[in-house]
Amino acid sequence: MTQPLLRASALVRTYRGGAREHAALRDVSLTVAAGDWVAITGPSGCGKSTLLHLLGGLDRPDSGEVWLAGTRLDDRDESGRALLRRRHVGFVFQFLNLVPTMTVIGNVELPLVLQGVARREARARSLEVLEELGVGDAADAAPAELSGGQQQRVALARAVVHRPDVLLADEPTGALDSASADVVLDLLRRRHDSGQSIVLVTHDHRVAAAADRVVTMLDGEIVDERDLTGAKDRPTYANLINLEG
Amino acid sequence: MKYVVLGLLAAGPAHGYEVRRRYDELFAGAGVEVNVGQIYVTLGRLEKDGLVTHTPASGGDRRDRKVYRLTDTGTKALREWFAERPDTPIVKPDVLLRLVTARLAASVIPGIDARAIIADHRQQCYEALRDLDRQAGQTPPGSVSGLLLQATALHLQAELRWLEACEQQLTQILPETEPQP
Repeated sequence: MTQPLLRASALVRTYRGGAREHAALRDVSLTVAAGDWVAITGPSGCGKSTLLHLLGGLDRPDSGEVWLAGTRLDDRDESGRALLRRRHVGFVFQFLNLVPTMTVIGNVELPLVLQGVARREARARSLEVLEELGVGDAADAAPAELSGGQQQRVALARAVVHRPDVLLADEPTGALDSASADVVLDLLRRRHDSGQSIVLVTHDHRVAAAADRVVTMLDGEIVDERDLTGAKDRPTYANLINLEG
Repeated sequence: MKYVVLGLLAAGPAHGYEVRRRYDELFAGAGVEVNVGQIYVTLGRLEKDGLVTHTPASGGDRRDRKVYRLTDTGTKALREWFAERPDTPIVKPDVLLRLVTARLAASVIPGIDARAIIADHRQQCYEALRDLDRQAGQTPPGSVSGLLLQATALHLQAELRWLEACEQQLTQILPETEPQP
């Protein structure tokens, strides 16, 4: 078997707030192959965001290991993890985290500039991705001039512009109205169809249903894992709607 | 079906094929297929009850000659139907009954696993949701079919959220077996 893109084993993460201890993750293991789309779902407080942060090296586990693209991530210091993140990971969050003082395209080209890509090339690649995501016209606008849905598309463009091995998305549709959420979901679907590996955290089951695999978490543990890839070839459910009566 | 057909005729007299065409225009995108035979059976019943009547169409000798229209009794039936309250969407707790029964029957049928029941049901709900999403992509926005698909999708999402609650709150009814690796 080829080496998985992302492998987390026996992750434990406990938060200590004063006298209280809260076990956010207790012994969680997860493997993501290249090209996979995994959705992590579960009620709020189940540990799904904590898991995503550990997978992307935004946080470190108390014990357990995270391996990303053949490199161990969890035992590195912040700058070491930042380096790996920049190279391998793209992030999208519920709240967009765009830099308000920069233009749209300035935001998108940021990961490329940080990687040392030449300004001209960075600009050209950023514009290409913005156009692909349907917000090319907004390149020179300030983020605040755009709707929430458009801003999320910009955030998605910034997350994928450096062609990361894996896109990590934390409730990417959580702050959007349903029409904008549909657009973002559709864009994720298209990115995935063209080979993008995605790990997505969501409490929205319709979003989760778009993934290849759905992992359900409860109280810091994975309690179920469903493979939905087989559903692609099945005939449509004709009996989902019943007008008889 | 009965009232839908009455409604389709309330829009104007029509022969069976035309009734079916009107039906398909509204609902076929939601995957609620109907064949012309079902339409004729329904029209026959409605006619027997005096809710619709037919007149032979003039000209031609095609098989489809009867033009149906709503009678006064039919209009009254429709009006009475509108006066009734629509169904309350009451949940059929099929999964919960199985979970509870799995626990009760554990000594007689040791093979049943409550977690597997939840897992199977979750799989089914996700697959159905996936399916609906694909169908919704082929449905024009703002259509009746789209609304029907949306209703089913929202119910499935509620069911999935409720399954989480089942796992969370009803641990005492789940047999004390570890999920199979």
